[in-house]
Amino acid sequence: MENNINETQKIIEKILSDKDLYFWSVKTIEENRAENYFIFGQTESKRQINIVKYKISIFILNKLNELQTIGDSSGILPENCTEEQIQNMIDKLIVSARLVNNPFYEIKNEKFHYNKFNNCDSSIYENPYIVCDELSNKISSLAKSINNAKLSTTELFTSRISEHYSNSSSNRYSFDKTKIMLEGVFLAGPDDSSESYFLDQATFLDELDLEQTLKKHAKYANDSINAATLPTGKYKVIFSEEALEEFFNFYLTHASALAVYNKFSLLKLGEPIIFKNPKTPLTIKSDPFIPGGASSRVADDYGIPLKPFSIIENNKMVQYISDLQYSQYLNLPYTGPLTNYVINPGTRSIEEIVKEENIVLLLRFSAFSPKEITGDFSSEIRLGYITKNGKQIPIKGGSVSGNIRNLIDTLELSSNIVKKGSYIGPDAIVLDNVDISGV
Amino acid sequence: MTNLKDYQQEFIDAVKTLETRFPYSSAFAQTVERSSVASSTREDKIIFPDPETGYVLTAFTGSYFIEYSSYSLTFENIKQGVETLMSIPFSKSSETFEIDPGEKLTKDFSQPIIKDPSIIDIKDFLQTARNNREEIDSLSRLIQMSMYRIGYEKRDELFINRNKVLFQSLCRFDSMYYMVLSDGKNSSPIFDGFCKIGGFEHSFFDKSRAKVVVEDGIKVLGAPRLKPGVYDCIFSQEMAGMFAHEAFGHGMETDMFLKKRAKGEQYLGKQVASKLVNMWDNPTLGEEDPEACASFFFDNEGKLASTTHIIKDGILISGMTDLYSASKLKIPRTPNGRRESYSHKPYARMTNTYFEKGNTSFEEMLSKVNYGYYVDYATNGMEDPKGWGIQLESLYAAEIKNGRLTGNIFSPVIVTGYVPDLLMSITAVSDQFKISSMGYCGKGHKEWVKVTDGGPHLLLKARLA
Repeated sequence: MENNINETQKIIEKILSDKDLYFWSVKTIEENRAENYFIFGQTESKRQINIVKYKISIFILNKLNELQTIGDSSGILPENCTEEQIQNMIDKLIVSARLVNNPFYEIKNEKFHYNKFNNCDSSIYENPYIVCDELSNKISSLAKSINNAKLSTTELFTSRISEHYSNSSSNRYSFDKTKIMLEGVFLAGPDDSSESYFLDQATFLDELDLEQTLKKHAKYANDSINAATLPTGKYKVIFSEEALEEFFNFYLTHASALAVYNKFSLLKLGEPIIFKNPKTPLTIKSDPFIPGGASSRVADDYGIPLKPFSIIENNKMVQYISDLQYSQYLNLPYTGPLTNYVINPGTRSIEEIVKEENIVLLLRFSAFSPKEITGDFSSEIRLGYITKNGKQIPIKGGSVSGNIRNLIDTLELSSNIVKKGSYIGPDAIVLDNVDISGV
Repeated sequence: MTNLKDYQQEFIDAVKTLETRFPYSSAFAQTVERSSVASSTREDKIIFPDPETGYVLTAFTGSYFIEYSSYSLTFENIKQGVETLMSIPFSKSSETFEIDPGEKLTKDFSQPIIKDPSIIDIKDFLQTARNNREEIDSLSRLIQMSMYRIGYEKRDELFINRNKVLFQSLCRFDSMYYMVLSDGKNSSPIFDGFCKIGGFEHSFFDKSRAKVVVEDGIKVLGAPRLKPGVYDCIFSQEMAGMFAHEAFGHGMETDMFLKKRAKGEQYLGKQVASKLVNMWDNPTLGEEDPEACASFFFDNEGKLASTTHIIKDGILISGMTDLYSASKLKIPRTPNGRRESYSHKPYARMTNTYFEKGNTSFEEMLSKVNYGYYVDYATNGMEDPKGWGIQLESLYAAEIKNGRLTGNIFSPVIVTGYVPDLLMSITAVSDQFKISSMGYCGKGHKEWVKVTDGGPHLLLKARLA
């Protein structure tokens, strides 16, 4: 892939090449970002941000008690750094790396070919500032057409980011990506007493359905006005929207070779992670080449090209997530780091599942972030619905809690696939016997 | 570190030029030096995080701000920033307001450092982290992995507008540990640490405290969850701090008033809490307590540090302002205009936010509980300034029966409820005050700034699950 490295990166490479290092890499990260902020349709602030920085990583071979060890250190330099500052930073990294005696692992001097892959919207890449203004105008115009709710605030960011990577094995690649971030709040009801906060992130302009997003959150703000709190009890719950991205944190953490190496992983290779037969078997893969994936990338930090791989297949732990270091420590196949995680769908759509009487659909939370080490989850409910006599009744307040390890046997996944950051998977995750603490 | 003062005159000139087109302009520049040294059970790590050297030029059009920010702190680039702002089109609004540049002041400030961490050998950092981590590893065979991290952040900031040339040099030292305990059936994390104004003089390791943390970690491992319900609770000082931050911290950031996202605006002057409750935001607290490390001398919009009394004897009396919201709402400025960095927009943000201590001893408080829980090890919280809901999460709830701790532990715990109900239910405030200093705070889900929070133990009624 083409690699348009700048003069500073060349100077950094030259200085690093002249040092006695086991391995080094340097990555230039350039970002141009436009930000527009509005309060009730009026501009609060418009910003242009331009950032260039250089990330340097070095590795040195050391010895401890006659044993070969490896030391590494990394640092970041700013755009306008002088040759003297570069030299000083590299010297500081070398001094630091000489102090570190981690168990040795081999970084092969290997030349790689990289897949042609950019995660980039051409319009944003060409001019993020114009796109930001155009999107802002569109949002403003769409918001005016919504009569039952007011758009209190929006923050819209559009960025283009270019990465240029090189290392001591003469590997080079460039990777371009674009990002759109839209955060907003709708108000509804008497005295604007109810609100719906939303955060949409995308890579490509055509991924954004502004009209649908705005209408949906205007509806949520209205539905929230008279939403009641559920009685305390155990419920069958559909987790959706804000719950999706971090839902499988526990499994992804315990599936990492780092957790195995550090002896706290509770997942065993080849063994089932679910002991009864759930409605949908769980399959999780990592895929670095998903267009629009928030974690899409070409290579790992050592410049090794990435590939998709399976982690859990049909409820069985099939492969630990093993980067170069831990794969060698544990004698496991190298997979590279986790990138986008792709979860296989089930058979029923969310629309079919939600028809079940007394089922609770939870969409919005104060913060839904299951604990990576324990699998516990707890969150205040901001908005959901319970199905009563075929109708969806809005609910809010109280909290939902449980532990995914204890509930995973009841798992059902929906048939529709959505993308939320690095999560590419079903739009509904269903668990039974979930505690809701309400009135 | 780059010397920001080398660029002072360039920024003064930039502000002058910009004010030929705009009614108000300012410049903010920063340079940050950081290091982070971590020793964990099976490997060590030394990194030098992003120095975040850069600047932002701000121009006020009469109704909104335009900003240009860059990582490239050079004379040439500052000129380019000025040219960009001078040529950028902007729309005139009928709704205009004025920006007060404040009183004339040129002053340099600096926080005291006894052992400058930037001149301490990195070897000493690593050895300290290793020694402390080895001490922790020796405390229990159930510790599968522990990590001890120490580091520092030296931050210089320069603010300039037509009346002010302010420079501050801030330094804080971090020391934290984290461990994962596992018995093969369950795994559970626990952590502790601090961040203090100053330098390497704070590298002391409190092993007796670490012993307590490990013992609590063992109790948490595999602990059941409690039966959801409303209980009498004693919040630890750490939980009280998080409660202050989430309850009437975010809700009194006045940019939320402008957006009609905070119910607090309608309750100014009204009772929202028990008469025992006094709550403050105070960026000067660091002068008496080094752990109040979100302290500074002026905020990122040039307002000198001072205290803000948010709740006085249960009555909500003041919000926390940034320049835009204070100017537009025509309310007094408080020193709360803060940015994540030069490359981020300023918002109204908290600093050191806390409940004032009361006069009840912890033992007396405990004796008042027939059945309830002592809640400790706050992990995270979330605000709801519009609905006045709240979510506080913690690792640890210790059962109390007939005024005594039974030794039964439940984990994790979530506290939810309606903020005024929780605050009105406070029936005792302890006489012990502590700041918790490891936290950062986001606005929504981004814009991370260093904050601390704290307070005394609180006796109240809350819904736990």
